[in-house]
Amino acid sequence: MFLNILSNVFRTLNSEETPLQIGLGFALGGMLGLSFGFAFHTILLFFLICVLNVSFRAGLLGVMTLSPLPFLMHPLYHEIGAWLLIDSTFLYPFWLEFFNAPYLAFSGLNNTAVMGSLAFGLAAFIPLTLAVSLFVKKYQHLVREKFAATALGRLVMHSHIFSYVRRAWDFAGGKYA
Amino acid sequence: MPKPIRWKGFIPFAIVIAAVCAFNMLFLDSLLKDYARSAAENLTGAEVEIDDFDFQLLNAALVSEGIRAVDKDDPARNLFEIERAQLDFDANFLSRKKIVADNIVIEGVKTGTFRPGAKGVKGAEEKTPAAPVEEKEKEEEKEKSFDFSAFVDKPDIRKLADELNIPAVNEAKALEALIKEKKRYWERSIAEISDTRELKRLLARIRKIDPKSYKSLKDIPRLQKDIKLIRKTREKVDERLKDARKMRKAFNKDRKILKARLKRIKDMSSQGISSMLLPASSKKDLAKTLLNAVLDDSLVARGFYFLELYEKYKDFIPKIKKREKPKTDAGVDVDFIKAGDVPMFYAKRIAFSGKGNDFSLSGIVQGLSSDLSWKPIDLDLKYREKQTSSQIQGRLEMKNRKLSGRVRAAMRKFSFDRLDVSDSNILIGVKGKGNIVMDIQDENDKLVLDMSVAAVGQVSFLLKTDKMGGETKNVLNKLFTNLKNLFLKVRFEKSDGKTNYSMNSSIYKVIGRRLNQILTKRLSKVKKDVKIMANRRLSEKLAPLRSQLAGLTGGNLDQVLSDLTPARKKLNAQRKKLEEKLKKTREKKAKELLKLLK
Repeated sequence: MFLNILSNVFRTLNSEETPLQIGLGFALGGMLGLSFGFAFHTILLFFLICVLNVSFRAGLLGVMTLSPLPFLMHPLYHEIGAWLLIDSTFLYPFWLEFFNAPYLAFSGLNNTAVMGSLAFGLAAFIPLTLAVSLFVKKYQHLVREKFAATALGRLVMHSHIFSYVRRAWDFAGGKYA
Repeated sequence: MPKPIRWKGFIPFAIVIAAVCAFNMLFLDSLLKDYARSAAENLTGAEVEIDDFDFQLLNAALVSEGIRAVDKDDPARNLFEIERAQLDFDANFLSRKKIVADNIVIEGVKTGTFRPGAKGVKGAEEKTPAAPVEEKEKEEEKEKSFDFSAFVDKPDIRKLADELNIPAVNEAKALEALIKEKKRYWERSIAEISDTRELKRLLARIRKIDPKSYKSLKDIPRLQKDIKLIRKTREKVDERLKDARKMRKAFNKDRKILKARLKRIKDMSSQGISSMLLPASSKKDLAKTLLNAVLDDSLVARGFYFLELYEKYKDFIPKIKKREKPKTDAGVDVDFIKAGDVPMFYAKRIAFSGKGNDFSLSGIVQGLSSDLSWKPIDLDLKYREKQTSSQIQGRLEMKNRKLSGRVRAAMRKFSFDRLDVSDSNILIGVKGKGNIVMDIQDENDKLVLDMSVAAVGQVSFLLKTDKMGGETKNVLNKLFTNLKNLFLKVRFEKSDGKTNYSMNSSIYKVIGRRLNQILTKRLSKVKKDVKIMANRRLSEKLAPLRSQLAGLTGGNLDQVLSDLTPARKKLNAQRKKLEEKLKKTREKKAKELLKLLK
């Protein structure tokens, strides 16, 4: 499991995708992983990861790395959800309209833990996207570009062996996957 | 700049969604069936079985067959059974997680049907499965039927009197002991006072005294001795006479006391019979106790059962939960869906119909919803048996988040035979027919149940006979069978957490009157029998006492007195004579002495 995650990390970092694609993919996957239980919005997140041109591998990485957190953060989720659904009485009319709209009744968001997990995920979405994008950008700049500029890097990058490995990688779908 | 949409990404998403849909297509019916079953079980509080459940999303219909709710009080029977139910719903509202039915048709409604092979019911599995249901039901009816002939047996008055603690008999026994004691005392005392041997001996000695024998001075000491004897004898006779008079006075006093007690016993045996047998104050208590046992355990209990269902239904009123700590790790569901403008469940019209061998059911319920503030419910249900017909009419609605409503349930010629579930020690049910009208009003935080029961023709109460004595059986049989003109009105009020319960009935009056008649007749007979028997027994006991008393009339004393009185007179005369003789002799001797001296 750990090796799998590590492998994914390196494959993602070394893919041809932009840092923003990776950051968005990871943040969407992270939201999915942070979600409490199986709710309507998890399908929506999965749909976005599949359809939007973001890093699918980063999405899977986000799900795998952040999915244990809901079990630890349940009390926090409940507090956030209870504040939104119960304590904020000014939101009652909105929630009544929201939950009585077609199909949204099945969203499961009237549960405090589910609502709290979604709110937490939404709040973490932009910071997570920016943080991961920045990290990927730094990594690509420091490791890939600077390493390639060194003698050793040139030797490796222009060698036949690396060329074959790169072709095999592309053939296996590493470019997009 | 990469394209924002990755069209190839639709493929894995479509695969996942297709898998979810396929799962639902395969298991949705069973999932909904389980959901419907658990909801029905919550509503009825009993186990519910559903044979077939078909959810037709495209037709916007739900068809279910073979719905049975087990009677929790009698697991061998179904509370109700529905052959087929069809619900035509509005698909638009289904997307809002709400069921709004334009029309619901419920067919083949039956109540109280027998459940062959019911689990956990003794006898149902032991009997041969091939036995027809009708035979089993007949056997059950036979077991429940009541044999009144067991009541009819004549009372054993002698045994009854022996069992009763009759004060007159007790008093007679005490008097008997006293008379025996007195008898012993007076026998001894009279024997002592009647013993005149000594007196007779003294008299005999006195008779032997010859006054002529005193001739010389030498005879003076003898004369003095004789006079002394006579005096002593007279004193003894006087003393004996005094004792005899005193004793006769005491004896007469004792006899007077004994006679007074004897008279008291006779009075007790004649006047106190009724109070000895049955105190007057217990008549009403007896009737009240017995009737309460019947009414509380059957009719009123049924009313309360429906009230419980009614109050249970009120729990479906949606409320937004206050914040609370989650009891599980699943968070808290907030009822925004329930609290929406449309209730979770709403049926515009429900048509009921059912027909069995001996009954038919029909009716319409309009505006049934899980939130009564949405629209009022109008009920009009009719149930008919061969002779019995029942009708429920009324309206329930929610005003200012408070439930209010008026429902009237009327049952004509209702057979009381089914009300045989009493837990009373004596009464097990009622036999007969009556008209029952129940009015339930729930307005302004006040819940009122008015129930009136009027008997049609004759009504009999069924009694347990196994632990009753013959006399009790006979009395209760006459008291509680073939009663006419019975009515009962019960009012149950619940307001501000306080419960009031009042009851008015002719049953007390009818049974009280009958009880009086029975008691008067029975008491006169029993009184006569017991009086004769008690008098006979008293006479048996008093006969020897009377003879003893007759023997103690003081005859011996009178004899003694009569014997002694002439003796005393004689003694006095003799003494006087002797004294005169002595005086004369003294004077004569004195003169002779004077002459000699001169």
